[in-house]
Amino acid sequence: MNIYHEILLIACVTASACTLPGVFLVARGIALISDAISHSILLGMVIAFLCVHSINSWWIFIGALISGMLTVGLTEFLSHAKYIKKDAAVGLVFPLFFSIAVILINLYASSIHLDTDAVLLGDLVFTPFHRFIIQGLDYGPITLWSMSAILGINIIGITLFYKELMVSIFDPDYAHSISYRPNFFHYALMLITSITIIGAFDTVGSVLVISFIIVPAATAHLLSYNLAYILLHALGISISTAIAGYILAQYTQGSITGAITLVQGIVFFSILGILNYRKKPS
Amino acid sequence: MIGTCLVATVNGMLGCFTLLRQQSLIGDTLAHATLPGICIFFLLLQQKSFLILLGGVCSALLGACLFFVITQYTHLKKDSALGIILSFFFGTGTYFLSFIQKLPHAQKAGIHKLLFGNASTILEHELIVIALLCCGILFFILQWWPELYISTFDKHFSHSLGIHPIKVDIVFLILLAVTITLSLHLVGIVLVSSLLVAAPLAARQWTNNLHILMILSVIFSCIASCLGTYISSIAPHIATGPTIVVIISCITFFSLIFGIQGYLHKFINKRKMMYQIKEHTMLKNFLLFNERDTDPLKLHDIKALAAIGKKSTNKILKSLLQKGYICNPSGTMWGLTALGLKKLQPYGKKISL
Amino acid sequence: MKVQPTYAVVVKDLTVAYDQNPVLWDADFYAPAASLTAIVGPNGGGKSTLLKSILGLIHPATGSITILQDSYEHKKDVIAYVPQKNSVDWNFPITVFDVVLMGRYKYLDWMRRPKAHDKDIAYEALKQVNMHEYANRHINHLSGGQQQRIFLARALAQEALIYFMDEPFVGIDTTSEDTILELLQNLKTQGKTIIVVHHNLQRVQQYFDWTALINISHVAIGPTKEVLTLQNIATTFGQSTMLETLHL
Repeated sequence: MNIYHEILLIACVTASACTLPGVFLVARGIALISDAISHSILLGMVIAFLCVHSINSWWIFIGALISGMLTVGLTEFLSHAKYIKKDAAVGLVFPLFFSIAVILINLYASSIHLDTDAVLLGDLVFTPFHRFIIQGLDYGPITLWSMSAILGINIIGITLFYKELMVSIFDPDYAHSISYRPNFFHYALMLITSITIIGAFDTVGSVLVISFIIVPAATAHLLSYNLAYILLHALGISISTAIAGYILAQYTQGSITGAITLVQGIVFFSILGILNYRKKPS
Repeated sequence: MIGTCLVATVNGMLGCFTLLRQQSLIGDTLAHATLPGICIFFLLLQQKSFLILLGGVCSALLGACLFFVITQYTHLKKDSALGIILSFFFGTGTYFLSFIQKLPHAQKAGIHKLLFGNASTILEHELIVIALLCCGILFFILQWWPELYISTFDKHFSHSLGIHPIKVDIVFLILLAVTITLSLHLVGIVLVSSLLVAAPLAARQWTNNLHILMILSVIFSCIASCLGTYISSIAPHIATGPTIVVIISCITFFSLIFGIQGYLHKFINKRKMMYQIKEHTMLKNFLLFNERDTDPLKLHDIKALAAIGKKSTNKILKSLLQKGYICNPSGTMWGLTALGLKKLQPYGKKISL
Repeated sequence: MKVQPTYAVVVKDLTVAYDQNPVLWDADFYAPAASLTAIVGPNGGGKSTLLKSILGLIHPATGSITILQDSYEHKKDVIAYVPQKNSVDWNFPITVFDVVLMGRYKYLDWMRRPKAHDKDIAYEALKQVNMHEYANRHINHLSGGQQQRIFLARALAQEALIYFMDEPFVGIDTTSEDTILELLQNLKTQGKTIIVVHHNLQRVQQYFDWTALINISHVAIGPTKEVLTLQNIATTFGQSTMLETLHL
C-alpha cells in the first residue's frame, strides 16, 4: 500500500468514525458542543505536556479527555442557572479554556512544535509519517490504527446501545421512568465524541473535525426519518465525500481536509436544494 | 487601545441582543465564516489591505443567509445549522488558505494574526477606519433601537406594529457581520464568540433592565479589552486576544457567583428556605401531641417530643417563640398558640393514614 | 363502619422549593387503587411538580412518598408515565410504531432487541387508541390529539398498574379527549390506577371519581362529588395568593 492509499484510507476511516456520534448530536440539537470540545481539549493537552514534557505520551490524550469532559460538565452546570441558556454557556466556557491554553503556550512552551496553526488546521498529509513499528515490522501509520480503533468502538457502542441512546435522546423523562439513566448515556455520548475528536485532532484539526462530525450526519437526517437508515446514509456520505475531496485535493494540489469539507458542504446544500425543489408544487 | 475600546463597545451592545435572542453562538459561526471571503479577496488583491475585511463581511453575510435557508427549509435545529455553516465555510477557507500558503508573499503572515488577533499593533490608518465603522454601527444601533428592542422580545407583536421581523433580523445580522469582522483584528477568529457572549452574560447577572444591561455590558467589555491590551503590550509574547478573553471571563464568573441573580444569592435563599421548612416541621411536631388530646393548645413537656426522636435546635424554638407560634410559660412546658395553630391549618386537613 | 380503601399512592408533607418562593409547600396527596384520579389547580400551582416528585424526576426538600406501600425505586416496574407533550422532540427521526415499542423497553435488558412478542403488544396498544394505520408514519406529521394517543399507546404497551399522565388534554379536540377518557375508564375497570393532571373541571366532574385540588399546598382531596364544591374551587383558583394564605 503506497502513501496515497494510506492517506485515503485514513481519511475514510476518520470521516466514518466522526459521523457516527455526529448523527446523535445533530438529532439532539447539541452539535456545537463538538466545537466547544475541539477547542478546549487544547488546554488539557498543554497542561499534560507541561507536566510530562513529552509530546508523545498517553498523558496528553488523558489530559485532553479530561478537559473535554470538564467543558461538557461545566457547560451543563452553567446552563441550569437562571439567566444562562445552553448556547450562552457553551460560548462562555470554551473560549476561556482555549485562551488559557494559548497563554500557557506563550508563557512556557513557545519552543515546542505545538504550532497554533497546526492546532486549528491540522493536515492529513503528514499522517503517514508516524508509523506503528513493532519489532522492526512496519504495520502502517499510527493514525490509521488509532482511528480504526475509535471507529470500532463507535460502531460497537452504537449497535449495542442503540435503543438506550434513542430513548435517552428522544424522551429523557420517560427514559428515567424506566430506569434507563438518560444522564449516563448523555455523558457516554459526550465521552465517545471527545475521544473521536481527540483522535482526529492531528489529522483534521480542531475546526474541521466539526464538519466531519456534523455535515454528513445532517445530510443523512435530510434523507430519512429512520434513525438506523440515517446512520447508514451518514456512513455512506462521509466515505464518498472523503474520497471525492481527496481526489479534488490531488487534482488542485490544495489541502486535503479543506477539500473534503468543501465537498461535504456542497453535497449537503445540493441535497437540500434538490429536496426542496421536489417539494414545490409544479 | 482606543480601537480596542470602540470595538469592545460595539460588541458589548450587540452582544446583549444576541444573548436575549438566544443566538449567542452565531458570533462564533459568523467569525469562522469570514475566512473564505478573506482568503478569496487576498488571492484576488494579492496584497494585505483593509479591503480584505470586506471579503470577510461578504462571506459572513453569505453564511448568515445560508443559516436562514437551513432553518427555514429543513427540520434541522439552529444548533446544527450553525455547525454546518461554521465548519463548511471555515473548511472552504482552509482550502483556499492552502493556496495562499504556497505563494511567495511575505504578507501572508497576516493570516496568522487573523486567527489570533493582535490588537497592540494596529496601525494609525487602520484605527481611523475602525473608528469610523464603529461609529457607524453605533449610529445604526441607536437608529434602529426601537425595532431591535421590540422584535427581540416579541416577534409577533412587532409584526403587528408594522415592523417586519425578518427585516430587523437582516439589519441585525449585517451589523453583527461587520462587528465580528472588525473584532477579528482584535482577538482572532476563535475567540470572537467570547467578546459577544461574556460581557452581556456578566451584566445580565446584575440587572433585569435592558438599558442598564447595555451600559454594564459595555463597561465590562471596555475594562477587559483595555486591561488585556495593556498587559499584552507590556509582555509582548503574550497574545492579546486570549488575555482579553481570560479577563472578561473572570468578570463573568465573578458576576455569576456574586451577582444579584447569581449563585451566592441563590445559595443564601435556599438556606433561608430550608430554615423555614425546618421551622415549619418543628411546629408540626407539636401537633403530634394532639393526636389523643382534644385541645390543641394544651401545654406539653418538650422532653416528650425528644423522646420520640423529634428534637430540635434551641435556635428554631426561640425563633418560633419570637414569632408567636408557640409559647413557653414555664420551664420545659411548651405548647402551640392560637396563631401557631392557624398557621398550621390554613385549609386542607392533614391526613392520618 | 367505613371501609378504609387501599391507596395506590400516598404523599405526605411534600415541600419543593428552589428559592424564596416554594413550588409546593407541605402538600399531601393520595389516590385510591383502581380509580381515575384528577389533579386540578391553577397554572404554576405545583401540579406537574407533584407528579414529577412522585416519579423521582424532582427531589423534594421534605416529604414522604409511597407507591403501593413501597418506595418509588422498588415499584418503578409497575408505573407508566405519560409526560407533557412539549417535553419531547417532535422532529426526532422516529416512527409512531417505534415510539409505542419504547413501552416494552423496560422489559428488555440493556443491549437486547425487542422480540416479536413485544412488537405484537405494541401493535395491539396502537389498535386500542385507533392509531394502527399510522404505524409507519413519522411523528411530526401528526395532530395534537394523535400525538397524545400514541403516548397513551406507549403507556398501554408498558402493561403497568399505575398510570401517571401530565396534562394530556392540552390542545386536543373534544372527540379525541372523550375517546381517551373512555379508554381510561376502561383501564380503571381492569383494576388500574390512573392519575391525571387535568384543567377542565367539567370533564373532571364527568369522568373522574377522585380529585385533588392543588395550589402550592393541597386544598381538598377526596371523592370528586365531595371535593368539587364552589368553596373549594374558589379557594384553589382564587385571587389571593396562596403564599399569603400560608403565611410565607
